[in-house]
Amino acid sequence: MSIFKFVAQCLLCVYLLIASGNVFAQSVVYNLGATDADALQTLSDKHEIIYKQTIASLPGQHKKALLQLYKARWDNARQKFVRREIYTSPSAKAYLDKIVDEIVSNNPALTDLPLNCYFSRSGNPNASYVGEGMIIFNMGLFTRLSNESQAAFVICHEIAHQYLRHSENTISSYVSKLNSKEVKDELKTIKSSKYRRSQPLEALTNSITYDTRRHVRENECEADSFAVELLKHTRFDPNEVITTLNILDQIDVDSISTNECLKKLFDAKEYPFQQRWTSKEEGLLGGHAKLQSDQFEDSLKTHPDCKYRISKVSPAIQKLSAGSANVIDSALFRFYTRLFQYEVVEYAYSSDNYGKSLFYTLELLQQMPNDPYLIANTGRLLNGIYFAQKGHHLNDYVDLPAPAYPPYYNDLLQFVQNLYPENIASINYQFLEHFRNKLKDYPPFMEAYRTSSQIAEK
Amino acid sequence: MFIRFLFTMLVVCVSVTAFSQGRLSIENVHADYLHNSGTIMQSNQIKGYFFLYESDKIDKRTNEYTLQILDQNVNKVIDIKFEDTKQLSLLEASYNNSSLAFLFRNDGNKTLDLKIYDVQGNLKFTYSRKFDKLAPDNASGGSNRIFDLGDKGYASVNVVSGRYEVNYYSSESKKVWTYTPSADEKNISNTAFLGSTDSLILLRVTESEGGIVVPHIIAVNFVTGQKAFQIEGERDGFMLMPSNAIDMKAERKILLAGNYYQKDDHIMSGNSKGIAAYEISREGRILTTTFNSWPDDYPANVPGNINIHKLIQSNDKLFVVGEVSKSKAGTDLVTMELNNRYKIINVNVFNETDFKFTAGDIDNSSFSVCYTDYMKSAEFKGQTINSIRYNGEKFVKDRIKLRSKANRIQVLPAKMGSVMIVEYFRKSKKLQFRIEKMG
Repeated sequence: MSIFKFVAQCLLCVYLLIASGNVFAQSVVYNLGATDADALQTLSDKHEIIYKQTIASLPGQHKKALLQLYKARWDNARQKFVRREIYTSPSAKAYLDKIVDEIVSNNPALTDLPLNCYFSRSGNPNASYVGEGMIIFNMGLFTRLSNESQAAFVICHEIAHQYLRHSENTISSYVSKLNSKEVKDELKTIKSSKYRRSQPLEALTNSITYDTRRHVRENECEADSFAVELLKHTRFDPNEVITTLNILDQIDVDSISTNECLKKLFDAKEYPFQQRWTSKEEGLLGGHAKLQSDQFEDSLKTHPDCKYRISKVSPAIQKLSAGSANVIDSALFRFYTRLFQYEVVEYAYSSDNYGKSLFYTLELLQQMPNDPYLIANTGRLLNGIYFAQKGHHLNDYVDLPAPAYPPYYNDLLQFVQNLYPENIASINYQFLEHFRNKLKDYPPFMEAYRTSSQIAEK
Repeated sequence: MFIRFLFTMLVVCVSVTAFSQGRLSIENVHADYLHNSGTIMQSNQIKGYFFLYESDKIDKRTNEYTLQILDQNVNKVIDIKFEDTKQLSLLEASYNNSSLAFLFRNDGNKTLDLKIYDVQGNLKFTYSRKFDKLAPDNASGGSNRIFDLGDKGYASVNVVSGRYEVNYYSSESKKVWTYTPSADEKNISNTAFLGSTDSLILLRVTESEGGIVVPHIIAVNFVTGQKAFQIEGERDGFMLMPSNAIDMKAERKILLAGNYYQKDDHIMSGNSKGIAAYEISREGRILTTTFNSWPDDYPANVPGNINIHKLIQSNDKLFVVGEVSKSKAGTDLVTMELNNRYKIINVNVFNETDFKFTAGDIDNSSFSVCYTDYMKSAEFKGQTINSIRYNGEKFVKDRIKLRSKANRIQVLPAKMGSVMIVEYFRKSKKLQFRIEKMG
């Protein structure tokens, strides 16, 4: 981590001001990016013990292959601690545990399940059961929800995966299939042939992959159904299951018009916005191509469409009586959904993903254009992008545009690609200058402003 | 620029991944081999990259190939599979927004095959021609044989038995024609594609007889397939050897520029007198001529011929990027700035560099020239990548000091403002590509 970045990060973690209209007032103090290294290590050690117990109990047949896959699963889970993705705030964990307790205490079948639910600081709108008793609830998903019942359904869905041993069953069936006599014979036949190996091999690989993905898709529907079963014994409202699935259905829809936002933010009188900064090549090779997926690729999706999932769970939900949208503490729910919006921005920055952090910042600035943290963070990010470009490491901090990304994110990446250091320096300086008088008492802002001024002077 | 082979060694690429367990796994049953790779060009700009893998053996004489297409940001966008002779190499690739054209050399049939694919990777048309009568340079060596003509199609320019020919290949329908000049036009030793407009292909052909080289500028209308006009390189006692043609769309004019020589000078061995620029109408009428002679108009130390790589018209100025060979060691990179009357106003010389490529924005409002160099100082010893970028107002320099544990590093052309660095790690048999932005 560069000294510049370290200083900037420390300053931002001190406190955060919240804007009230056009007047900046220190109404709420958030402590961002607080991760306890000791707590992370303790948790990691705890789950490593579970991992070791799991692999010790694996069957002898195909053990090497099974070990390889379980290790890959644990490595993925462990990274969440290594990368400081797990949120260690005791109060947030206590709040999450209360939601989990409401589910577990009303479902005796779960009593013996080693169940640990954590908030992840990732902005990716997702939740997952990652093995070794760990359910990860990404802040990027939590912030999209509107009540505790929706959060409870997400948790129930992941508990269902754990309880029904979906991950373990998928690994087991994959290994069995790959080591089956049928596959081995097929591989032998392919190997013994001198010509035309690739087509049968591809067909074999596709059939194994298809089979695995089909199971995974079926697991999703099964987890939904089981989640409804769990939820109906709690005080949460089962009708929120449908709302949650509808939210998930719309999760990738354009949240902002990126180019319009950029123009609004960075069009200064002294340095007018240039059309060139947002220009892009639409064709196949420009980084923004809309690639056609074929039928086979569609059949490899790990998740069924949300509309299909809704149709599968709706009959069961219609029979249930309504519960309460919020059961634990609606004020706390609102507090965390708001705090986590900032946390994902901060985490993306601290994990060197400036592109994502800038995108989340841009999204929030549309709702809160005078938010001091967001303004200071924009300055800090543009300073960081300037230094990354000068040091020829831009791609370590900002993704290149790619057809796989949604257009609203790709447009931001293209904007960064279109800028040269002199553009970044001037854009940032003019942007921060506009807020200088209003935010002169906010240290993170002044730190970003001073750095930007020094860059602009060069 | 075309890169025929990245490396001479074969690089193994496992086509499907699965965990390998025991002796028989998917990984050890099959592997793809990198056959060759290169850049995909559009209007003389880098638009992407291709990798041709030998993915299977069909029979004794035939292979299955996988042509992997990467966009300008090195994202994989299409895989094209096809069967062809074992004796196949991919010479060049071009793109025109609606199609991709690949020029293959088929040593089995002794043909040059141009295959045109749509942007979903479906084969649209194949055009074949025997290459045994082509001049050696057109059949195997050199580069820049296939050029995109906007959305309409592609062109190639060849010399066949002392005469030049222009081939047009439509990408819209199966349509091909060849323009060959009349029988009395012969002794052509060389051709160069200068540029195109929305209807004209402009080329320079050089006639060579008794050691005297005479250039002509030919325009062929690719809509009609007929010659539109011809301009003699010789004029007012001088000979113009244009290296580029720029379509000045707004003014409906064409700019030709390049080295010029005293008439009867030995072009191939002598020094040029300077840089000349002709503005011509779309009908081939010469409208203006401007000459910059070395010692008179610009007293800088720019000796000899400039091997012009690119002319760039940017913000009412014309920039010339080229190299000057030095008698003893290496070459110098030269950039020249010409005003709106095509008179030289500034020259920059960068000593003993290895020119790599020039790239520009779509509207040429800015452009960059990239070259490699070797640096030896107390702080750093090794290869550097350097860029000189014109940002619309001034030149800005940047340098990357290459520090890598790779066994071999290669710098390849990339989109405007960036370079592609290819690193080969022998132990892990791994090729790593990365795009680095240069400020």
